[in-house]
Amino acid sequence: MMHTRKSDCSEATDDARIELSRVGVSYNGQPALDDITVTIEHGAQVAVVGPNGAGKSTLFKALVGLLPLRQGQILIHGRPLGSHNNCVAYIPQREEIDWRFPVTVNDVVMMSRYGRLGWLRRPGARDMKAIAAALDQLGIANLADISIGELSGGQQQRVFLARALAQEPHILLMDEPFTGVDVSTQETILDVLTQLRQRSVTVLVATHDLNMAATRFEKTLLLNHRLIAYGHSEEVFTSETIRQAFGAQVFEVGANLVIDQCCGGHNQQAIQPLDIKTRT
Amino acid sequence: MLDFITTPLTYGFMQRGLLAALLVGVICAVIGCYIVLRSMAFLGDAMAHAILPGVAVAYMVNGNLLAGGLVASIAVALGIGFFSRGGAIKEDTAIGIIFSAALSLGVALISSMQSYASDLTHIMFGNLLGVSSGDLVLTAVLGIVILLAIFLLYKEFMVVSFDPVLASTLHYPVNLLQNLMLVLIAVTIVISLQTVGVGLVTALLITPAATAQLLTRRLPAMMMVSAACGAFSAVAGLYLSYYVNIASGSAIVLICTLLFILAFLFSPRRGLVIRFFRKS
Repeated sequence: MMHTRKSDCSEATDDARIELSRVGVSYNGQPALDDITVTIEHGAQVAVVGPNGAGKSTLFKALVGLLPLRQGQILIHGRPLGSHNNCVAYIPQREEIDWRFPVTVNDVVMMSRYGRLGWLRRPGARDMKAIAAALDQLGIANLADISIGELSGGQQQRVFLARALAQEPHILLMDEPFTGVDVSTQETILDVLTQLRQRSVTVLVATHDLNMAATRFEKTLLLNHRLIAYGHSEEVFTSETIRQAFGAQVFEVGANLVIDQCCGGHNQQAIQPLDIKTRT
Repeated sequence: MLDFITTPLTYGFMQRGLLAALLVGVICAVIGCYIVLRSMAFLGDAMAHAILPGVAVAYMVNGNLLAGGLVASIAVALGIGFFSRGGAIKEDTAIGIIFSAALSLGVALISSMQSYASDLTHIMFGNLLGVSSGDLVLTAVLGIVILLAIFLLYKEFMVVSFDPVLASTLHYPVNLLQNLMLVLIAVTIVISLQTVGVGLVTALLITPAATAQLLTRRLPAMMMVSAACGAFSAVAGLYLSYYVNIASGSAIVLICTLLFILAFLFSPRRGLVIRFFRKS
């Protein structure tokens, strides 16, 4: 059934795995990602970790087809990017959104359904139901008619997570969702991740919180323009890989590694001690 | 009192002028919402000035002014893309260079004509009272096409404006929609030429939309309020120009500005006065 719109993601029955082979991407004329080859398994939950400017956001933008590949290939469901609809939901960093835009929470979440509606079509009962369920799941049903400019940071993050859920994606990309949100929102996000694991949704979360990556994610992808390591979180974090990724930002304090993520980034903890056991 | 309203309408040119101003006021106000929301005010102003050489050439060869203006504005939009591509210079710099170059070229062309002064004044500031029945019909037809496009592509234009990344993950043809928007803006500017001229059309595009943004929480409401502001300014401005004997285009823009200042001061949620009292 090929028409002007690509086939819907729900028609794809094979695994939602992501395969990158020798992927290189430039951003603003500068090479941001180089020679990345990795396969992320169906249903995996992956923390994407690396220093500022390591190419985490660039990787996500390449995965949704926003940035052209300089070289290499990305396959989703074993097929090239852009050959199906709605497979990938992307939650941008909050500062990329214009919060003065005249839309309500309900309007924003409804946008997730637009991909399923053809041209000239208005949302129907099924779409309303999907939205109500997503708002409920994130505990923001009472905010449906509030304009987005009046939300707190945590509420803003919940709205965009609700929108991603209502999109019913096979793959979910979240860019720094834990930055600048309250503790209860952090827990809500982690709860939603647990539910997504049961539904075998493949999730990639960019974060600079190494402890969160080590303790709450089964897999970690360590990135610094090149792929440093990918695998089970406890195996990925060794003092060697951390040094490769963070370089001069790493300090040894007794038996612990400390990473100085201050300066050059935005709202980060100045010094981040690593609780995880590091092997030498 | 009734005489006050009906007396000017005993003249045919006033009736046509009033209808033209109403049409242009509403069309500019509606499409202007997207210009304000996407922070394209400078681009809108540039496109308005850039159509001058196209109109001048069309005028000299007795061609269609609308076609001349459209060709020029599309050439300018492409030129801005050409110079700012690759990041060698910033987009607003490219806009500044091209729009002043186009303006100069337009003035140079018009200055070679014999009726230089009056032609230039009409193009720069409009000639509302010289609207012919043919002009009026053309304005109405194109205006309906523009409003229909905005209505039918409501959800596509909204997503592309609010969150181009989402639009891309939904596999919307983002570039095509953005270019279509530019063409609609160009047509709007060209049909506004006769009413308020190149110099003042930006005000009709920006000011009612900015006023409406202060007063509303959702995009459809913003468009309605903006259209109402545009319509009121058109009618009130034309009467003001009749009774005080000032140029009609500037009278319309001054009324627009007055409405904006009132909204800025007294908007129930964002007004300066309300915020002042809330604080104290």
